[in-house]
Amino acid sequence: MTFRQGQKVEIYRRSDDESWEDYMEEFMGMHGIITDPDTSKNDPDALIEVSLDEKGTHRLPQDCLRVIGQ
Amino acid sequence: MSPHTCSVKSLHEELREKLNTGDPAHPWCRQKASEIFDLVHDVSQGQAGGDHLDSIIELAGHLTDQGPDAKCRELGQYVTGFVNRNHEEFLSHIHTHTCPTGHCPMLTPAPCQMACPAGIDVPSYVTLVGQGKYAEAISVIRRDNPFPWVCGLICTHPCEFMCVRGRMDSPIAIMDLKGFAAEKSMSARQYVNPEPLPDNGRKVCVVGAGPGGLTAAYYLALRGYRVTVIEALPVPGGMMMVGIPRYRLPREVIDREVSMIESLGVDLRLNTRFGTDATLDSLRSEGHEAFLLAIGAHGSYKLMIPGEEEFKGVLPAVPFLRRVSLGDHRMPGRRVAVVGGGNVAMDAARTSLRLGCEEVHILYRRSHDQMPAHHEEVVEAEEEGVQFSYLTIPKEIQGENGKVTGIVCVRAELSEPDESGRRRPVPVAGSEHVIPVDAVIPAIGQEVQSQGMEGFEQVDWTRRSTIRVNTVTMQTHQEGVFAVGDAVTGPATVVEAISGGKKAASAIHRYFEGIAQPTLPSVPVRRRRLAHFEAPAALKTDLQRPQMSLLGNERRRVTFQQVRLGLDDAQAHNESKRCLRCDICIRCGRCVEICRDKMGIDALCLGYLDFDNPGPTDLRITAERCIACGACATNCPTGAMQMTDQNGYRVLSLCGTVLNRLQLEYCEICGAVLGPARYHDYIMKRVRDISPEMSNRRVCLDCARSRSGGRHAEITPPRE
Amino acid sequence: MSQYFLFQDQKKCIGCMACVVACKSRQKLPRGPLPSLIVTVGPKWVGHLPRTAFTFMPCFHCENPWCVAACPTGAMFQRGEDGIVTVNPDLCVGCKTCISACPWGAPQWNPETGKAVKCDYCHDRVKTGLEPACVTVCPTRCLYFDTPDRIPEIRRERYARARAQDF
Repeated sequence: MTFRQGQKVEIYRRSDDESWEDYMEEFMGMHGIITDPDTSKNDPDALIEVSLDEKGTHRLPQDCLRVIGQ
Repeated sequence: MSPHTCSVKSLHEELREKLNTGDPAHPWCRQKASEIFDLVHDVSQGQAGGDHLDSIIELAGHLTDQGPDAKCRELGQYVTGFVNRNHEEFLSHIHTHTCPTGHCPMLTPAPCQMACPAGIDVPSYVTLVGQGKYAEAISVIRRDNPFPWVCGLICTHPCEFMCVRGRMDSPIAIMDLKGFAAEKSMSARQYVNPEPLPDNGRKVCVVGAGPGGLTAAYYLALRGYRVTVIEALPVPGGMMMVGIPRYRLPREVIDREVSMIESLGVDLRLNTRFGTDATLDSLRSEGHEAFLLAIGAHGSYKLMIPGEEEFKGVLPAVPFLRRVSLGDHRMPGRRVAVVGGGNVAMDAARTSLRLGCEEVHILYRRSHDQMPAHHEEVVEAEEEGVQFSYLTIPKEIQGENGKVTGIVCVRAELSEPDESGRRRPVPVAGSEHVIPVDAVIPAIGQEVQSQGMEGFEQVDWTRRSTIRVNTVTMQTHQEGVFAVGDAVTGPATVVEAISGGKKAASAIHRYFEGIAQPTLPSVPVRRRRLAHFEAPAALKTDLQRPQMSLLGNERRRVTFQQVRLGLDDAQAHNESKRCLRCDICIRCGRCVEICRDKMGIDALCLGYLDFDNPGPTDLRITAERCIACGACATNCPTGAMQMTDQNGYRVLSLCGTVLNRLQLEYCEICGAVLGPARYHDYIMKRVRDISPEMSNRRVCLDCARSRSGGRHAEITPPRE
Repeated sequence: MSQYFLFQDQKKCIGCMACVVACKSRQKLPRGPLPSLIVTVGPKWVGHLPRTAFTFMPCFHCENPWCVAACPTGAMFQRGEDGIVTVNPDLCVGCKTCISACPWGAPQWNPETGKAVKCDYCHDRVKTGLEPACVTVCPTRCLYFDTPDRIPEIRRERYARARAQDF
């Protein structure tokens, strides 16, 4: 999956990535918008910026995200 | 209590429950308990003063010490214990008007503020811009971000993606308003630093003068620290200066904001590379006790194709842009191929054009829709004449006499989506072709250059070759060493680096003071609570996001002049009026629910309230349907929806947007305000079956009562 | 009509407002709302003496209440078991239509809760065998609360006496 800026996403599972931190557990199930995907080469391994509804903007691994709606 | 419940709110509710059920029963205790309740209420509303907490503890102490019965003393002890356990959360409500859990409706930051990595109080500064108070707007922004001007020109503005107005039509031009305010206040010489705390004598060293490092330096300097920033390059600003081209961000803007930081006493040492010009030992011996690594991601990925190392004329985008930024304006070649479809590729291509290159190609392996560069960047590059070759994969760089002469490419087709949904470019057999160029600029990604960092032995690195930190505090695995910016995130945004710098400054301060570090990301702090503008629904609806004027294309192609020319005063003021003030309205939707489901009137069409399923919005329809009963306003938890009587009219407004305005009627007997005719009609229609003849009654509650009281009065002659 | 009746013997009432206060205090009401009220009429010259009447105005608990008809949410309702008209605060959204609809001004506005309040004949007290708060506190015992058939025939008797004197 390649994420695009402006897409609505859900944090649908815990990431297996080393960059997943404890406080991110409470993001599970939350919805947000991709605000800064990997802007150099759509690297599926890059951490990308997601703005969560009411929970702030975070850089997250992509394996925990899926596109919703649209 | 779960960590997700706001302690202030739960104490508030507990006390309310107790008082309502007659506990404590003793009148003296009840009095004290309700005084405590009122104080807690103020705290939850963000209306508490500095001594509220002390007063709560004092009153609870009275209950404990002087309580006439056991229940009373227990309550006192309970409140004291509760407040002490949740001291920090109470303080945050009182001092920063922030509810860390977001459960206190009056203290919930707006979505734009929540989305801003730096946590800028967007609605407040947008409102201040609309009032013409630019310097005040800048001081609000600089509480959270010392680079309002830079960010006002080049921020990736996640805030605008979350902007609630975007669900209605288009988001507020939050970034442009910031740039506007910065330019205005700088120009008026009103862009000033706040007063720093007195020198505390402690020294911190920041490695790298990019947005992350300088932000940390700024907030540390304001806290009284002596900060040294060492920078390998001859210019400050990091990627802001040597990554972002001048036509997007003029050098003067960076220089002015950096000099504001320097003027706080920050010692900025340019041309000083860590590991060679200054070492860990030399810096320690100067008295630096904490270090912040903000070295950015200045390395480039290689194309890994033949000829890349062999010929002169292959120059990766990052060193190319750096070279140009540092003043070398020689063109890389007459014909240039930029490889990659990201923002950096666009920057390199557009920069090449400005240097005089005759042909600039962007070679991208997938199709237009998959290009990772931001849409506006692509459009502007297209406008300026950059040629795009999609589905083109470079295979080899050709050269003669040691110089590049062309790039061999194959055409590709996109495969069907694989398991992960990704469509891969598949080379088409026999499609090899040569694009004749004399320079190739690979722009396929950046990496952190860790050389020179070996001195920090315990600092741990991730598999992405970035510095491993706790992202709440930006602490590395080495004590007293922190890291921020691209060095931590990989290539990311300026505002994220700023956010990291701010977090690091706070964590470094805690480190020096021995205060426990936070475990959860901090919630942005509301800086102001400003009154909203009043505007008719029609104006609120019709105002449109301003179209910023751009520099003429002819000039864009040949100079590094700023492309985006900024907003004018009228545009900025109108844009400010478009803001829905989500710092006041928390979009709970109770008003809509009540009007539609309870009252059956359905006069509020506010589809933008819902994040997941936004529906249509029509601010004008309210005036056609609303009976001005006021139930929406009564049930609004934040006072965003208001119903007031003004000059003979009953006015319903949402954050200042006038949704309905109906002429009032008055009591026939005493002249008291009754309500509008439409409200009266609504009631009459409902009671028609009981009392068809009553329809023209215009008598207020009090008169109705005394009139009927009079009718029932028995005044009889005195007994003889 | 409710199965109960609240009768005031105006002759005895001295307008002390104890009933009004008791009512507010039982319903824990802030400044403003007065679910029951003493309306003072007069003083008027009656013969050669000034006379004042105090009319107790709670809610009449009408047979066909305007307020119930006007309420769009079903918060205002008439209890099936005894005909008492009362508000369910959970359903009330504060549109005030009941207040505007009542010809006698019985439903009142509680600005603290943003909901309507009114006389409910203290049905919770009545259920436990007590009298409504207003009746209990009346120092002159001018208020009577009971089923209509057991209300004292004071007025009729007094009228009869007055007529008898005429003869």
